[in-house]
Amino acid sequence: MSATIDGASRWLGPGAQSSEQITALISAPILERLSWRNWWIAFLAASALTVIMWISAIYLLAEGIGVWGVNSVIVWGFAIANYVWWIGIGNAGTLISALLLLTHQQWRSSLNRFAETMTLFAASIAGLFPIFHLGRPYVLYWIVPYPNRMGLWPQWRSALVWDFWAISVYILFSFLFWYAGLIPDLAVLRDRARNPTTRRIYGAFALGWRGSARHWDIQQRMYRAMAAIAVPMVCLVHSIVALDFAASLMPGWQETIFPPYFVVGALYSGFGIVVILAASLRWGFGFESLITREHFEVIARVLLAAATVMGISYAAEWFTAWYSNDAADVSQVIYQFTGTYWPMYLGQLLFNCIIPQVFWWPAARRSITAVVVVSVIINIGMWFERILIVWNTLGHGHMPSAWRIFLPTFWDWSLLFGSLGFFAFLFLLFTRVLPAVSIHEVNLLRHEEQKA
Amino acid sequence: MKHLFAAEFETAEELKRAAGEAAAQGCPATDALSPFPVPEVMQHLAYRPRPVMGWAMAIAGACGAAIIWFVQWFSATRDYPIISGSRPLDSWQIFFIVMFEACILCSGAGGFITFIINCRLPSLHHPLFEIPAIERASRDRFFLVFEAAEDLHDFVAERITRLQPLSLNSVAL
Repeated sequence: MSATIDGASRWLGPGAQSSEQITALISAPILERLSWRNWWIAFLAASALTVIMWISAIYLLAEGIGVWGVNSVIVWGFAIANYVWWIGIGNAGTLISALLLLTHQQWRSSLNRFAETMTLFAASIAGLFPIFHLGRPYVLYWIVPYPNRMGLWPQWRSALVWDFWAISVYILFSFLFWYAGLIPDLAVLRDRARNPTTRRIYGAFALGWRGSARHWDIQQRMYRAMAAIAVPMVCLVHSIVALDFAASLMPGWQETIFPPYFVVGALYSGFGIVVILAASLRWGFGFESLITREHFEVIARVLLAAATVMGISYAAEWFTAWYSNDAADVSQVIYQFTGTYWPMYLGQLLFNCIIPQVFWWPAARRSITAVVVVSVIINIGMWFERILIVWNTLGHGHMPSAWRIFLPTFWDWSLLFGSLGFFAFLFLLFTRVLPAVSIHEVNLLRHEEQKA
Repeated sequence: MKHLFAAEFETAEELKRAAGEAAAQGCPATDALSPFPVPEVMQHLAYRPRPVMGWAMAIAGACGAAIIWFVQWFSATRDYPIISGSRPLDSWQIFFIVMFEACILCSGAGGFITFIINCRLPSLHHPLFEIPAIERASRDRFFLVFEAAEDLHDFVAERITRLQPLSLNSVAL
């Protein structure tokens, strides 16, 4: 253990040693007048990208998916890769929050709120991509089971229907879990706000929470039970996404390892985004005492473990191809290393498996800059992985005469970067209206640390 | 006419001590307000929780699962049978996916509804909100709440004063 770890308060810095300090620090971005110059710069940049995203979306809906680089062989393209990538990011928030709650990891207190918010936004953005990719998005509601005059029902054996259920249940459940943990903090804002309108708004959403022992008892029972069912749900969401691929008959997709490998990949990229958001909050709002170096240190360990699992998963894919001795599978693996996209494939291996190994050195884990840089690299690597899963398999399937490559158009890129801007836009708004860190949980953490 | 008393304490430890002493005096508190959960105080209150949460969530989840299973079975085998890839109409293995999702959603929603009903929320007005400085209960103060009928007002107030609270306020119901 490093000398800087003070046994009494490992997870909270000197600026968060009393209830008043913690409450003031977390509620300042919402209730106080601070200097908002940096926030506005970020917000304007994010808004510009948001406009680009919605222009791309409207153009796409007006013209059809021919504006993208998809062709009759590589029919999925960016949309499905972006979908898998965003839902992966969206997966981590609820998983981090629920899993760390069940395993009594105290350090979740500083992270869970904004990680869950990240989940809500990322999963919602992810859900847009399959809709954009539908040839006829205006009949989207046909995958909802409801009695209708046409006498139609959804095809339950279709992966599209599973996706609909997985994403919508995930977003709805994550919202309930998030709101259930937010109610006590809304009451804090109600009690602190000086402006009567602000107080009324937070008061209404706090539902009259009084912090009564009965309320706490019921809230805690619900919260733990929800966490217990959230963990299998999160695993199932990304497993279903993996089944979109694995339930097919394509070389490189039809593998039993896909569901667990997608879940780990999701956790991996999601933790990467959590690091980036944590560092931004720490820098932007002066949360150094809430999100400490120790938090980055433990996340770096998680990233290291996940990087190793990812490496083993990639190796398992190569092994399966070799062991199956299936010509299409073997040709697929050779194509990954030597085909059109080999630089991206090597980039994927380097970014996802090799570079994160730097976290074996304690100095790298304890450097926030290093953890943030590696997290950005990991997310680029994970996007490479998602897009290559689509390109390599669809473009190099069983039929050699149907081998094609994918050439992205402007609208592919504008929707990808626009969606990143839209995420930032939503997250920046969130930091101004809701506490980015859970006030009552940090308060409880401080109480327990000071008692110990 | 009944009265609500709110006795203020500075720390969670003080709250636990006072709740224990009040119970020992035969005048247990009816409720406690705290900025974070203090589960140890529950045993001293004149209130026994009914642990219905787990049951409510389990029943809601089971109902959701059963309903969606029936919808899948009925639509796929009776109302709208389509043969796809020569798989059987009653592909029950596949039905597990949507059934599981529906189970999770219904048990989560059931849990939240149970929480709202059991806490009697939303209750935007409550007599306790009339007590001065009660807003600190969400930040850094701890309160024990007592209920007393009109004729017991002075007796209960005296008992509470023995607990040495930082302040003691009451509000008529």
